[in-house]
Amino acid sequence: MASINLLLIITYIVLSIVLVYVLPKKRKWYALLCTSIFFYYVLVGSKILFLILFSLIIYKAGFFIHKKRFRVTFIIIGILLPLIVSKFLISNSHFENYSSKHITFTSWSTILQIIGISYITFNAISYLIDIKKKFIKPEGNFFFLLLYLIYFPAIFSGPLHRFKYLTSQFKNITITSDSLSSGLRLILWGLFKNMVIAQRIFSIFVTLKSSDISGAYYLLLGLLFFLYLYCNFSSFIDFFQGVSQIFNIKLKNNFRNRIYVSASRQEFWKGWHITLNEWFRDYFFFMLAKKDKKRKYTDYILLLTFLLIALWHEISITLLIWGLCNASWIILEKKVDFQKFAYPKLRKLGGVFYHLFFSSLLALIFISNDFHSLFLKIFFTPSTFPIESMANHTNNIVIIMFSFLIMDYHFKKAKKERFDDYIGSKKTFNRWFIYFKLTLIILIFGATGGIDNYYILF
Amino acid sequence: MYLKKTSFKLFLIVSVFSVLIFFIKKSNKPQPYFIKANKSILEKHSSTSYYFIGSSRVQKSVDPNNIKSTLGTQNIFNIGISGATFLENTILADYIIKTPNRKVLFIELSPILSSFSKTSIQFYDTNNMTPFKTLNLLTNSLSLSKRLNFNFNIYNSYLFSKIAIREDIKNLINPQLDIDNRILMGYSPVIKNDTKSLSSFLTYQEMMVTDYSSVNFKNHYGYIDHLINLSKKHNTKIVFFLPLTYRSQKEKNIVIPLFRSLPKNMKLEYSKKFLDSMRNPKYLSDINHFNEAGAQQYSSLLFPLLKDFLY
Repeated sequence: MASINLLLIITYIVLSIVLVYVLPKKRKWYALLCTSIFFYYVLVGSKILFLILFSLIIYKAGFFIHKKRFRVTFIIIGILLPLIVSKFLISNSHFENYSSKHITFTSWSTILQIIGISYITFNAISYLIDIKKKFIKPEGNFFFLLLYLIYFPAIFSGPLHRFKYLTSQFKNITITSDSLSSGLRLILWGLFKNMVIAQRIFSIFVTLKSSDISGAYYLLLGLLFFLYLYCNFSSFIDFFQGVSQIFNIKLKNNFRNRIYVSASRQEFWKGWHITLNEWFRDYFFFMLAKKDKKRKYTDYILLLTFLLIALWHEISITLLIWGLCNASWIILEKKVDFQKFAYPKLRKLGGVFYHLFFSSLLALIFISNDFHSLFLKIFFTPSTFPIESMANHTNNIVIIMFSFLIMDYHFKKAKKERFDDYIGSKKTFNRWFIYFKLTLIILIFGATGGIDNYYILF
Repeated sequence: MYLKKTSFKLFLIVSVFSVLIFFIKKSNKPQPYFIKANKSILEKHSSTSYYFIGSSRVQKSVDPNNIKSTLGTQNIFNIGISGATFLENTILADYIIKTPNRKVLFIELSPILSSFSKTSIQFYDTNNMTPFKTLNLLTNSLSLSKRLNFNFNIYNSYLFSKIAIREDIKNLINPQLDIDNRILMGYSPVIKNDTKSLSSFLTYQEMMVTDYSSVNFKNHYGYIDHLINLSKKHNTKIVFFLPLTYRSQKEKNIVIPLFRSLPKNMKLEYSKKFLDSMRNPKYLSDINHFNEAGAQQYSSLLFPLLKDFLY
């Protein structure tokens, strides 16, 4: 599996720390701009020139919108074009691209296939609409806007932030004992979840997917992918929240703790990829809902929002079905009040199983190339489980279960707190015990030397 | 003041783990198959030596004893390395070419990945090899950003293999485990047969694909040119071949057109009959590797093809 390698990130952190120390307080953000540009250049090469040009257009567009010279809709359509074209240029399914990205990831050929293009586009639209709504004024310093658009710890896959939220922190960059400790705690937590749990789940998943597994057992693949995607994506965010936290820049949370034990789809979506969902809510759903004053078409707008989210992942019929299923599920759930059911504990437990079952099914649709053959494979093929293929994974399964329990235990204790705050509130001995425990587990059971994220592809 | 305290704590924790890793690594002995493989390379041979270089697919499919009996020469060596890709194949070939023996190298074509496998690193370390010199030569033609990215990935894989202690702890707990069950270099047959699928096999139809305009072979050609130039100076023949099984279609999409673009005198070409004879799931241990039966069949079928490249 290809991934963002740790040596690159360590170099980024060290170089940024040195530059932040060297520069005066008012200019510390230049340190992060320089390192963001340099390390982004290492990853995308000369394509960075396109992104700088793109940022320049956003910069100018901000003033045009402020002076009402252009209609914001036209500008936004223009800004969306590179992202849309890049989606059309991807020939294989996202899962196929991900599974073989160690072979072809670095050879994305067209100029629009760039890591982080979604992040830049979404942030650019958010910036321009906020100007239009008069929440903010256009930024006078192009380089400051550029840092907002290509901030290295967030560019790979978010979290997404409004201009005001992030840039107010850029003005107060400082490295303190607390920021360093918090940052390193989150980095450690992210590494543990990614290198030990996620990457190991993926290795079992790949073995099972290339085996003869079929029938009801096929759902197990969906469950594995669901858990993998959570551990993979959330750990990546934890890790880069940590990197950013070192400089006292708090990136938003993107996942609720213990999201995998959601008892309904509505509960799940409130805690999954939070910043992207907020973005679609604020800049699409609410904008349409505002026009539907009698609330007659709320469900249709919700459906449209989910279809858009699906198409953002990939322009394909299978993903459209995935979006349709998600929206229908939520709309159906809204019609049934789960709170009415008696026995809250039983309701919660039943809800968890119900949600995991259907989430596994949706996860299978999400990664499927062909909905029809998936349907046949699950419902019309005799159930087969490849025990022989799994024999080599006995250790893997034990390690995953053990590590998952550790993760779940800490999440349970942390409740709604972020991991760094939760650890920070512990006594010294407990804190150091957790540091040693996690470091040792990573050193012994860490699968590769990189941190991986499925969502980099989008 | 507080920041200094935190930095000191960080330094302390890194030091403790560094010492721990150092002692765990030090207590492990190098695996004998790395030493054996290197010995076969460095030893002086009176007649021509034949080396099969590649990944675990080569490791599991080429039985030197089988080929020795049919070819009538003793110097046939399987030095397939688990996890090796074309970069590592090239580095190993570069190392072998520079030895004084007259030799033929059969090199597996595979994609170029920007990392070293743990096994390759162990082999380099055991035998004091310096892969970075060759790496620098191979990456010279890349643009600055690509070169930086590539090198970051390589050094990262190298660094991580130095701090990961899973294998070392396994060896400490059970020193026989690795030797008995997981030979990571050289011919290592397996008996099992875990799959009934034919999907991973290379087919003759796939070999005949002619449209490869979308594939960029620049890096592969750079590596191949490097080996050809070196072989001319060192009494060596270079022959490329394709693996018969693939985990992903994308790998086929890269290596098949690359193979087809090479001149005839530089490649082992499988006939339709050859591929059909191998296309049987009973020869597979898993989707990507042959078992012992597959290795015997493959090695026997290779004989007529090898004759064209004998010195």
